[in-house]
Formats: sequence, C-alpha cells, structure tokens
Amino acid sequence: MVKTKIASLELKNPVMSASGTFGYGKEFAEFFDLGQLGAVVCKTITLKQRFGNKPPRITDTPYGMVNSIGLENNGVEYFIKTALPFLKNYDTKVVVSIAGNNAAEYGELAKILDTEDTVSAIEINLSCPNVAHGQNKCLFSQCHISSQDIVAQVRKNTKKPIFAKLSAQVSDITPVAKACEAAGADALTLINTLPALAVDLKTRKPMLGNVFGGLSGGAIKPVALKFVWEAYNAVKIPIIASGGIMNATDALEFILCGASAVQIGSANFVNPLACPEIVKGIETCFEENKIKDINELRGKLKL
Amino acid sequence: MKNFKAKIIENKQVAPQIYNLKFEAPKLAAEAKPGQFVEALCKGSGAPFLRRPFGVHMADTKSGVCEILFRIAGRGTELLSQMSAGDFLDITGPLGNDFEINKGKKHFIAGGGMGIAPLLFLAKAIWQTGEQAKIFLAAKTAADIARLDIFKNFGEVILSTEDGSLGEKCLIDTPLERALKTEQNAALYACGPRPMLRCVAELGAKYQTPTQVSLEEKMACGMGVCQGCPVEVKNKDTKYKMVCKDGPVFNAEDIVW
Repeated sequence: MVKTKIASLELKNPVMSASGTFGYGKEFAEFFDLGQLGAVVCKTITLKQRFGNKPPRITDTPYGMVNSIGLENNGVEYFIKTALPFLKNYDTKVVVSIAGNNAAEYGELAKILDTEDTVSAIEINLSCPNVAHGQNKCLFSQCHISSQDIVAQVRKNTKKPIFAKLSAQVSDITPVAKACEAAGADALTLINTLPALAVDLKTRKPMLGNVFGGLSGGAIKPVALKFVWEAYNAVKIPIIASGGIMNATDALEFILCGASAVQIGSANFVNPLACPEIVKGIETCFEENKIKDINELRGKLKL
Repeated sequence: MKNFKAKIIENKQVAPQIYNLKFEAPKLAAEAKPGQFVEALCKGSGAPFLRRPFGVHMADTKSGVCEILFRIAGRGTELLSQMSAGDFLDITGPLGNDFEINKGKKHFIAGGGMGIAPLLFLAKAIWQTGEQAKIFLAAKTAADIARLDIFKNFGEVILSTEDGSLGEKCLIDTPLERALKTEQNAALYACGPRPMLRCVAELGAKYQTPTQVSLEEKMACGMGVCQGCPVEVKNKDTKYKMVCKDGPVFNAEDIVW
C-alpha cells in the first residue's frame, strides 16, 4: 500500500536513508532489519580513497547540525569488496551515491557499478558543499551545464536508474532540474546540506576545521519543502525529498509537496530507529486516512 | 549496541557544576567495558540537536545500575542536570572500544579534569583483578575534584591541583614522572584535556611504558557511520581514525599529537 516507484525501481515503501548518514548500513543493521527500508542509500564513494577534511567536522546548531566530513571514503574498489556483499543479504534496494572531480570520473564510477547486480540505482552527488569542484569552486549543481554533462556521462555508462542530487543554493531550481531531466536522470534528489558557518565567540574561531560546512536537520526542512515543490512542478521525473525529515509527519509533508520518496539523514544520528519508525508512521497515516496509493497524496498541496 | 530508555535513579550534584547520574540499565551494565561510552539524548526543544557522548563512569552487573559523570558545559549538559529520579533518559550504547588491562603491570591511572569520568570504572576493573593501581587525579582547583572517596576504594590516590588547593601544586606530569622513575614495570591509562594527554604520551614514550589514552571529540552518530570525529594517526593506510568507533581508547604512540 505504501509502495512507490522511481522509474523502473519499485520500492516497498518511500523511505530511504540519506547518503552520508547511514554508512553502508552495517552499523544500523544492529538496531533494525534493513529490509524494512525502501532503499539504503550508501555514503558517497569516489574512484580513489579520500581522507576527508581536517577536524573538527561536526557542530551542533539549533534544530540541526553543520558537518564538513569532506567525502571521506576508501574508494569504489573497497566499497564493492566490503559493502555490497553485506548489503546483498537484505531485502531492500541498494542505491550507491557517487562523486568525482569531473564528468569523466562520474562516468567511470557508473561504468564500474553498472556490472554490480546488488546495485539497484546510482545517486549522482552533484552538490556536496564540502569539496571544491571545477574552476569556480562552486557546486556542480549550481551550474546547469556541468550538471547536464555529468548526468549525460553517467547515463552513457549505465542502464540502472540514476538520481541527480541537487543543492538548494541556487536562485531558481528549474534550469538545473530540467537540464538533469534532459540529460537522462530518472529522478532528482533534493536538497543536499546548505553551505553554512558556525563560530565560537569565545575563541573567535570557526567551529569546523574546514571553516564552512553543510547545515542539515530540522532547521532546513522549510527550505527543502520549497525546493521539492518547485522541482516537482518543473519536471516530469520523480522527486526524492531530503532535508530535515525527523519523523513521519515531516515525510508526509514532503509527499504532499510532490515527493515520490523521502530520505532520512541527520535524524539517524538523533534516533537510530528513525527510519523504521517513519515507515511505520507513514503506514499508519495511510491506513487511518484510507490512502490506498501514494499518488493520492503526492503533490496534492492545495494552493 | 542498543538504544533504550533508562529510568533515572538519582542525579546528584557532586561538585560545583558536576553531576553524577545513576540509571537503570541492566543490559548496558552487563555489556559495558571500562573506556566505552554512551550517547544520551539531552532533550530540549530542538537545541541541542545531537546526542552527547559520556564515558561509562560506573557499571554494576549485580544491580544493573550504570552511572555517567558530567560537568555542565553547555545547553545539553545543562538540560541533563535538570533531569531527576523517575525521568527516562534515551541512551545508545555501549559504544566504542575499551581499555586493555595490561596484566602483571603496575597500573598508573591518570585523570585530568572531567577526564576522570571513564577512569573510575577502569579502576574498579583493575581492583577486581587483584592487582594494584595508583590513581593520579588532577584539576585546576580542589572544587573540581569529584568522586575522590570512591576512587580511594580502588587504589592509592595521588592528587595535584594547579592552584595547590588540594594535593601538590603542579600539573599531573610531576607526580606521574616521579612514579615512573621508580617503577620500571608500569602501564599508563589516561583521560583528560588534550594538552595533558600529549604530556602523558611523552612521559610514556620517555619511560617506555605502554600508554593508553581515551580521547574526546565532538560526535554525531557515535558508531562509525558519519566519519565526524576523526583523530590523525600515524598510519600508512589512513590519515584519520574515528574516535567513536576505532577509539575512544588509543595507544598513545599511534596518535599524531
């Protein structure tokens, strides 16, 4: 009843983990059966190992947190050897988040993952605020041409469904959303964390070693809702919502604003059982309101 | 590793700004080892957002009671200090690794400031093996030294304060080095502020004494997921290890101080 569809990908429910907040699932499997999730979205991987940014990397802010991890990971080879065999044991879909320094690297990652049966879909991280990209040191998804190039390169190298993960750090989401759709993206994920700064008045220093970080948590939910609604109205492909979803009510609000699925991020740190509790909450809401299909609620915001 | 709601038995101020919180947690009491920590949800209205990590101060298998010791250092610990007996505290744990007790050694435990928190549980565990421990406790001033009477149950306590208001007027390295000079077969276990730990690590190296340090870092997940609490290590394969999962206890010689 709560099942949903993203392109050819059928999910038992609309709840996924958000990239970077769930590792490769192993630690959370000690708390609940990962088979309860619609999909597990793995932490972003790159071609080669990345050491990440200098500490401190985390700071607490009102209703949220700022992080500057910097895509620390052991590279795609390590991921295939260790994470995929583990995830294969669970009755859930596996979405792999990828990032590269240029379109060619994204394409190469897609090509490598395309032959892995355990991988159900690829999420293209175009919007990590903690790594510098390109000539202007901006986010890929702040430029619709870069985004289109990267998505097209990934599309060329895989038949698996691909999601483009976008930033809200743009004045208008429409050009980049349409560019990704035109380049062959099967869905859009939005939003990534918002570029942010937290400071310590006593020491007069930034709270994070990398100075800037990405804001996440409940604080960014209204921003995410706006972008999900706008993207939903701009493109025909499904929208996957992420940004401050702490409970089932938040998740349902995003579905109301057009999301076909939701990703749970920082909430996992506050409550390790957030994901299964949100699945349960959505099911209960659908039952109580006699909603038989997610499309009865999806995008039904009354203006 | 479990997430559960623990009933608070007592939340007692034991020194200015310092609280000892006792709660019912039979599984945690049975599983936790000295050096491990828990993440507690200090509930406010959105702030703080993340859980706060606390070393397990004491765990008693028989009664199923665990304790954490904390100082009010911000909004989270302030809210925690306001909780009282009968309230329920949302806890995840046990998390992280634990101290390895070097059997057959003379055990030197060194705690500075709130670094004493995880060391009481360690002192008890060493005492239970029947071996001897010397416990070095240090703080800025006498009022900051909490739990002194309980530490005394598990070994000889050597005190120092920066202002000389209790014990010797010096930093912890003075009495520690004196003891290391006369004891060839020692093992060091330390927790405290980073400069103190660096100093203890240097002493450990100087006197060729195996030294374990428990580190502190801001954390989000507390279980190795988010990669948010790195410490730089001397390692060819990786630049950083995570305090929450690879630690909080590290061999002092592995850390880039």
